[in-house]
Amino acid sequence: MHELSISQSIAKTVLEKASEQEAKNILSVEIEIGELTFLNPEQVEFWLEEILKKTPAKDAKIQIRKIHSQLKCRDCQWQGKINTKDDPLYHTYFFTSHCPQCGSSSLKIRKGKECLVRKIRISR
Amino acid sequence: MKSIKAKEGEIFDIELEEDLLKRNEELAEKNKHLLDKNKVKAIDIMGSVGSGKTSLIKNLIVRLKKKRCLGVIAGDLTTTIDAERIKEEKVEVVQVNTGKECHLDANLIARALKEFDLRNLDILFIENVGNLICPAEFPLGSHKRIVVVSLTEGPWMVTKHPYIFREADLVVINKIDLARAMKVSVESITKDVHRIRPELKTICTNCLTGEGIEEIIKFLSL
Ligand SMILES: Nc1nc2c(ncn2[C@@H]2O[C@H](COP(=O)(O)OP(=O)(O)OP(=O)(O)O)[C@@H](O)[C@H]2O)c(=O)[nH]1
Ligand SMILES: [Mg+2]
Ligand SMILES: [Zn+2]
Repeated sequence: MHELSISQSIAKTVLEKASEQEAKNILSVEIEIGELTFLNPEQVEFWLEEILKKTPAKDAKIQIRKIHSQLKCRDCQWQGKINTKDDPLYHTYFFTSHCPQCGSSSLKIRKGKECLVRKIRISR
Repeated sequence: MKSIKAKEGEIFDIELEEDLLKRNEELAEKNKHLLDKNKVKAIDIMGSVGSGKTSLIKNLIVRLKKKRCLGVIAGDLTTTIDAERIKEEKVEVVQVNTGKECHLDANLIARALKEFDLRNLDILFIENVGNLICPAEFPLGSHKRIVVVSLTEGPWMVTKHPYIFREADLVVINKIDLARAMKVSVESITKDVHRIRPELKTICTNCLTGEGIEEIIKFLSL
C-alpha cells in the first residue's frame, strides 16, 4: 500500500551507503520483504527502478526476496507459519490471526514484518 | 555494517541490516519516550475515510477541555478542513499534510511534536489519515490506538481489514443512529471484531448526539 514511500527510503539508503564507499556504479541491490507487511514486492521493484533512473544505480539489478512468517503463540507456545489467505485486492497476505493449536488470538510475530536492504554490490 | 575494502575499479559488496520498518518503530519509541517524559498521553485515532475520526475528537474535546490541556495533530492528505474544525474548539492543532502518503509515520509525528509545548499538555489526539490498512504498519509512539468503524461502511469492513484491529486498544463503532437505514447491525460488527480478538473492547457512539463519548473517556481514563 505504501510502496512509493518505502521505495524512496530504500533508494535513499542505497545511494547514501554507496556514496559513503565512493561507489561509481551500483550493480545490484538485494532486498528482503516480510510476507506480513503490506508491501507488494512487484510494486516496490517498479518504484525503485523509476526512482533510481537518473542515479548511479540506474542499471542495478534489483532482487527482492520474500521472508516467510514465523509466529509464536503466547498462550500455548505453538510455533510456525500461519495459514495465509491471498487477497487479490491488496496483493498481500492477511493472516487469520488465531493459533491453530489452541485458538488464542495472542500471536507474537517473530518474522514476516521486515523490509530490509540486505546487500548492495558496487564498483569503484 | 560490514564492507570489504577494494582497489580502484574493483567490485565489492556492502552488507547491510537496514530495516526500514524497524526504523519507524525505533522513532516511535523515541516519540513515546518524549511524551512520557512530559507526562502527555497520546491517542492515535485510525479509521476509514469519513468514519467520524474528527467528529469523535471534537466530542472528546468538548467534554475534556475544562479539566485537561489538549492538543491535536490532524493528519490529512492536503487540506486543512479538519484542523479548522478542531480549532473551533480553541485547542492547539498542528496540521500534518502527508501529501500523497496513505498514513502518518513516526518521523512526521516527531516533527509535529516540536510544535507543541509538551510540558503544558495532558492529552494529545492524533488523527491518522483515513485508511484501514497502512496506519497499522506504522506505530507513531502513541499510548493507545483507537479504530473508528462506522455503520455506513457496510457490513464487511472489519472482516476485510483484520490487521488494523490487531493493533488497536479500542474499537469505536460510530454512526449507530444509521443502523436501520444501512441495514447493518451493531451486533454483527461487534461479533466480527471479537472474532479477530475476543478481548478487544468495543464502544458504540453517535457523534451527532454525543452518545457513548463518556464511556470512551472512562475506558481510556482520560
Ligand atoms: N449520522 C451520523 N453522522 C456522523 C456521525 N459521526 C460523524 N458523522 C458525520 O460523518 C461525516 C464525516 O465525519 P468526520 O468526522 O469528518 O469523519 P473523518 O473520519 O474525520 O473523515 P476524514 O478525516 O475525511 O477521513 C460528517 O458529516 C459527520 O457529521 C454519527 O455518529 N452519526
Ligand atoms: Mg477527519
Ligand atoms: Zn496457542
